[in-house]
Amino acid sequence: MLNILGMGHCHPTGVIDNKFLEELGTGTTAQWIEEKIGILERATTLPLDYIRDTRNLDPRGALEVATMTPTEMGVSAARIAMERAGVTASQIGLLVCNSCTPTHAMPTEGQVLARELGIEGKAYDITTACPAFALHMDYVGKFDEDKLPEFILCVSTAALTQNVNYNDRSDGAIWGDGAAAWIVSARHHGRLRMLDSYFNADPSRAHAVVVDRYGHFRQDGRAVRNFSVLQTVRLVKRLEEMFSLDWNNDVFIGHQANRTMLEQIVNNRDIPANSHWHNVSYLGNQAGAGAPAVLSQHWDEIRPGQKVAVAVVGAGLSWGSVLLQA
Amino acid sequence: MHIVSIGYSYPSTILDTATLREPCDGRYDELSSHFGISTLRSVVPVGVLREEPSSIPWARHKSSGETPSTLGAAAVRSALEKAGLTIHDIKLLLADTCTPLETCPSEGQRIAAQFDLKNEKGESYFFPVYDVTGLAAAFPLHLETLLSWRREEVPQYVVSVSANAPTLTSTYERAIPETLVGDAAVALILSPTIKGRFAVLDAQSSFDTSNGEMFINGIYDATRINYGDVAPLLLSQLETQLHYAIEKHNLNPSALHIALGTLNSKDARELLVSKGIQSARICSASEESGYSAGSAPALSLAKLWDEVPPGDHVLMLSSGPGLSSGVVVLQAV
Repeated sequence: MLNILGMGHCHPTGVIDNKFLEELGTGTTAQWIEEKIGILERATTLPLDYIRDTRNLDPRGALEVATMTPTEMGVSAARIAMERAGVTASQIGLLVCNSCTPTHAMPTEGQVLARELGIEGKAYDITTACPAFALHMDYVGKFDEDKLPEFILCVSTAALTQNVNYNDRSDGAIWGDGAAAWIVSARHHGRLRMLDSYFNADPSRAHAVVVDRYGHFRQDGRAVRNFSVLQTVRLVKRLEEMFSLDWNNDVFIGHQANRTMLEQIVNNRDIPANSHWHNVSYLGNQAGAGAPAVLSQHWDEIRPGQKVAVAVVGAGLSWGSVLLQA
Repeated sequence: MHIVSIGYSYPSTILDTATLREPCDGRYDELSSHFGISTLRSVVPVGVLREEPSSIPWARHKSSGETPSTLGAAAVRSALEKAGLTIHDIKLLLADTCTPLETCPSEGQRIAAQFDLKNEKGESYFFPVYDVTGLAAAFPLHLETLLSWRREEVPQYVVSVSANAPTLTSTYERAIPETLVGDAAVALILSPTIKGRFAVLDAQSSFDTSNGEMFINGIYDATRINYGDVAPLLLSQLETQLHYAIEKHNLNPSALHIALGTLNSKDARELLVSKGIQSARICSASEESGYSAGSAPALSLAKLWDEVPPGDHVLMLSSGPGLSSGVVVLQAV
C-alpha cells in the first residue's frame, strides 16, 4: 500500500492577468477569457515586457529571460515535500520526474533535479504530460513493495508559458507555470494512503496536443475539451461506483485545464463547491503540476478519513485517476 | 520474463568516413578509427550535413521524413511481425528517447499513433503507453521495472522501445566524438508467460547524476561531450555492471556473449577482453552504425540473435549519457 508522506508546490511570482492579454491586441478581451475559460490570472516565469515585445515568437528567447527554469521550480517544490515528509535527500532512493518543457534532452529532467537536490538514488523521467500524477502513482504502485526504496520522490514540473505563441489569443489565455512534488513510501505511513490508481491512453489522438521541441504548444482545442470533460466524468464515476464516495465529505481534484471545464464536471457529478479543490482560476493550466499542486496547497486541510479523488487527463491522449484516503 | 522477439530500424542514409572527411576536417578517419566505428546511420540527408554542418538543431530536423518516432514505429512493427502479433495484442508500451522532436506527447504515444488502433467496429484501442526514459540504460531500466513489478501487474505482451536520432543534434564542423553517433530504434516484445529466444534473468540500471553535465544536450543546443573526463567514467560504469552480473550470477567470463552499447567500442572491447571476455564474443553494432544511446546494446543483441547456443548467457551492457549504465543478464533458450 503506497502512502504520500508530504507534498510541495512552487509557482513563479510573475502574473499574466486578462487585462494584459487584452492589451496585447490579439482580438481577445478580459471579459471573453473569464466567461469562456474562467481563468483570471496565470503564474509565469516570463517577464511581461518580454511577452509584450516579442510575443515569444522564438521560444529560445524565453529560456534566456525566464526568472525560473522548470528544474528550479521542481527543486523548490521537492524541498517543501521533503520537509513536510521529514525526509532528507540522502534517504530518497528513487526520483521520477515528468516535464513537457524540459531544458535538456540529456541528461533527463529527473537526473538534473537529482543532482541539484543531492539525491544519489536512481533518477529518471516517466512522462505523459498532464496526467503525470496518476501515471507516477500507478507506476510506483505496481512494484513489489520489497523492491521499492524506502522513500520515492515524484516531481512534475512545467513552464509552458515559455512555449506559448502570444499572438494566439487562445493559447496565451490557458497556460501557467508551476511544479509539484510528493514523497511516496510503501513502508512508512503518511497523511494519505492510496486506495486505487488507474492510467490509460488513446495514442490514435497523440497529435491533438503537441509541444514542439523547436516551436510552440498547439492543440485541437475543441476535441481536447470534449475529451477532457467526458473522460474525467468517466474516471469520477468509476471511483464513485468502486468506493461509495460521499461528496459531502470527500474531495474532488481534476486536471487544472480551465475553470469552466471543471464546472461542467462537478455539475455532472453533483459535487458541491466546498468539495471541489482547484487553483486554475489564478494560476492557469500548469500541465502535470496542476492537480498535485492543488493537493499540496490544501495539505493541512485534509481531514482524517476523508477521501481525495484526483482525476487527470491530457496529452497522449492519456488519462488516469488516484483515490487517496487520509 | 522472456524476450519473445526483437525488431530494429535504421534510417536510410549511410555515412562513411569519406562522407564526413570534408566537413569534419582530415582528422575524421583517425577519430573514427580510434573509436572503432566504420559507418554511421543518419536521418539527416548527406547533402544537409555537408552543406550545413552546423545547422543544428533548429532547422535540420525538418530536412528528413525520418524521425525517432518513425524509426521507433518501424522497429515495433518488425518485432510484432516476428512474434506473430499485432499492436492489439500489446497491453503496455514503454518508450525511451534522448532526441524527442516534441516534448509532448511522449515518444511512446507518437510511436503508437502510427499504428492502426481501430478495432473491427471502428473503436479506438486504448492501452497504457508512456515514456520511461533511461537514456543509455533504457532497456536495463525497462526490464528492471517489469521484473520488479508484482507478477499480476505485467501484461502478457509488453513492448519496450528505444528510438534515437542523435545525428539531429550533432555538429559536423570538426572531428569530435559527438560526430560518432548514429540513429536507430530497437523494440523488444517481452512476456512473463510466453517463452521466447532469451530468458531475462536479471536487469540493473544505474545513474551517476553528478556527472550528467559531461554528456549534455540542451533542448535547443548541439550535443556536447566532455570526452576527456567522461571516457574513463563510461568505462568504469561498464566494468561495474560487468562485475555485478558475473558475481551475482556466478558466470564464467570466457563463456559469455556481450551485446555492447557505448560511445567508444574500441576501448570497451579492450576493457572487456582484459576481464576475460573472448573478443570474438563481443558484439557492438555501434561499430557499423554509430552510437545510438539507449538503442545501442539491443542493436548488438539483434546481431547476436541467431548465433547464441541454447543455455549460453548474454550480457546486454551499456553506458552513456545521464550518466547512465546498465546490464541485462539473458540466457538463450
